[in-house]
Amino acid sequence: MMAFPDKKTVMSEEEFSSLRDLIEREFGILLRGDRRLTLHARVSHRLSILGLSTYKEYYDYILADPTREEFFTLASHITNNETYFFRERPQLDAFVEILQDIKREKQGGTQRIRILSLASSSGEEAYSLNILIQESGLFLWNWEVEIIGIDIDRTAIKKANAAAYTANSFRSLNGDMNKVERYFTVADGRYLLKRAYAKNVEFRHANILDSGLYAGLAPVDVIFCRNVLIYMSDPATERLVRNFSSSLTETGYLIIGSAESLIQRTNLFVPEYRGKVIVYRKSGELQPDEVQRQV
Amino acid sequence: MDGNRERLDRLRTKDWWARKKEIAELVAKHEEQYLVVLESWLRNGEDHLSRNIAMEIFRALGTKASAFLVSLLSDRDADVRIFAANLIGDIGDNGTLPALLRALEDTDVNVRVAAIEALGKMGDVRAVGVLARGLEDAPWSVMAAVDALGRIGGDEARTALHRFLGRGEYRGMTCEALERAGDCSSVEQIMPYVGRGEIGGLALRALVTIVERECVMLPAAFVEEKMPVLKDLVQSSDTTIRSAALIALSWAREAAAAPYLIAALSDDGLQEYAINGLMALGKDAVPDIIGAMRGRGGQKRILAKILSMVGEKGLLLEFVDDEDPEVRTEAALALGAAGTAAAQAALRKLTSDAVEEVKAAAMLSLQSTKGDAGNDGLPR
Repeated sequence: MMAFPDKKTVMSEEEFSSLRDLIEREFGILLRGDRRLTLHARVSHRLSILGLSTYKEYYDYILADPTREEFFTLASHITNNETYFFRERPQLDAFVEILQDIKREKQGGTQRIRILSLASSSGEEAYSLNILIQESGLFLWNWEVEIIGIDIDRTAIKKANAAAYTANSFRSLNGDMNKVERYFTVADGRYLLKRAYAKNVEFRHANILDSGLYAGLAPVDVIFCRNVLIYMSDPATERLVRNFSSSLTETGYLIIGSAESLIQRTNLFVPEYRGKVIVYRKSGELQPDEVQRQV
Repeated sequence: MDGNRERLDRLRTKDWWARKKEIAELVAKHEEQYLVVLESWLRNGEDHLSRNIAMEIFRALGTKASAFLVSLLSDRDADVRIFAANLIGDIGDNGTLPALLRALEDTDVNVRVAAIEALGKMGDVRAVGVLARGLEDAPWSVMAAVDALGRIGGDEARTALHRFLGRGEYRGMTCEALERAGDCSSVEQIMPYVGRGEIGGLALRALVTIVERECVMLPAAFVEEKMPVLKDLVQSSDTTIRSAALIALSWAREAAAAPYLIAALSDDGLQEYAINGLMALGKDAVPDIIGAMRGRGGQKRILAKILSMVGEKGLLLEFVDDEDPEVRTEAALALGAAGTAAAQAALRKLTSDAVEEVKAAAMLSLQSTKGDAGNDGLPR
């Protein structure tokens, strides 16, 4: 019979449970099953850097840190930073259609459009949206356009602000260098986003589960929160959806990953088909507990 | 009565969420006040919405509806008997078992199938003997019985399913049933069918699920022998079979599994298995890991960590300039143990890295005066 590697040598079950529960409680991220090796592979270097011997010590260190810096560092290592420009093109095509609707709805009203790119990582999504907005030509002259990327990973935010990328960020363009060169200045194998496409975009460091974050962001016209809910627990998804509902305009749009769904998971949003793409609109409903909370 | 009728009619205009709340309020009342209306809705095949709402209310009533639903099992209309059996199964009241067993004698095969499915949902082991004997009925009944036995589980159901694996035409379904109900004794029963014909993938999935659930181990020789099958099934269009094949590959001690395991690092659900498999392969996986790290893959940071964990820290020297700061951090920690001039030079360079974590790791490694004071990937 085969012998499996003993996970106990890297992390005890108790240590894993403590960290797993902390991660779920604070970030809403669900680590399903025994993920000791995964967690170890992602954070063991923190123990070395901090001079700690066990994960129990690391857990205690996180909780005792008044600055909560290690807390955010942990989050940055367990979240997936995988992203690239113009990811899931059909959703972006639907977004361009939505821009036309928003322009129509706002005719004669406030000339401002605000878009959130949640779990923005190194900024590829936020900048892709900005490029699409600019190329649509819909919001010129006196329009105020804001695209706000939010992520828990400080290093990713730094990279997003630098707007300098490698070829790995352009995999969906299939080597179409004309497009790359239209938006980027290429030097030494690095691709620096042209300033014209970086304006209107800002990045903030925050936990997207924090409801306080959204109070300062409303009203938002479109929220992109793609490939996040698949990692989230049900209570965290409910919290997020409530935050989305409270910050979006009444006619706003929520766009989640194409492999994710909110159908029968909330009554705060209803699906709307845009060709083959599903986007979500506010249903106008409030759950009883929601009404209570608002009172 | 009229008030309740109005209330029921109102449900037809509500969406699913609002209806759920209204139904919860309705079932708190005495059911005698509206059961007649529900029965008429259940009978009305022309109005699917009313029929669905009636079923939602019956389910919400739970055991309070049991006696009424049992009476409907003798209705003249076969459709009504089918709906009654379905609802009894959903409610799962063990007191209705005798009525369901009687329904297995129904003249209509669809009612019999519904009764078998209900027994499966109920999960009462007292039904196993009857269901096992029913494995000779019409094909639809047999399929339902196999599924029900899998849901009920237990020794008697397992034994019946093991015997039934011999029946080629139902083998795929039997594998699926054993995926739920199987235990260690099922492993050897299923092994011969892994990769065999159309159901080879289902057999593998059942086997992997049982091995995982029961924490047993497969004979190494079996996994080795099945390598070609696993490499084939890992390309399956069925994601569940693909996952099972990858999990089985993570148990192989064959270098040929490494590329598949590296690819699986990108799948959140399979990452743990992939790391496990690559660590178990140890140095045999190194050429593929290095190859993947030289490419554009998104999991370089985990591969770097695995290199450290399998004791190949020196190889990380090649990646001190990697674009991913976590790879550079891992390289910095690993190179502390290398002690070569090239490693020292690389570490000094990394102390002025733009990312704080990389800098900290490089400084820590430089400060380590001797031996393996860097990172061996294991907590002390």
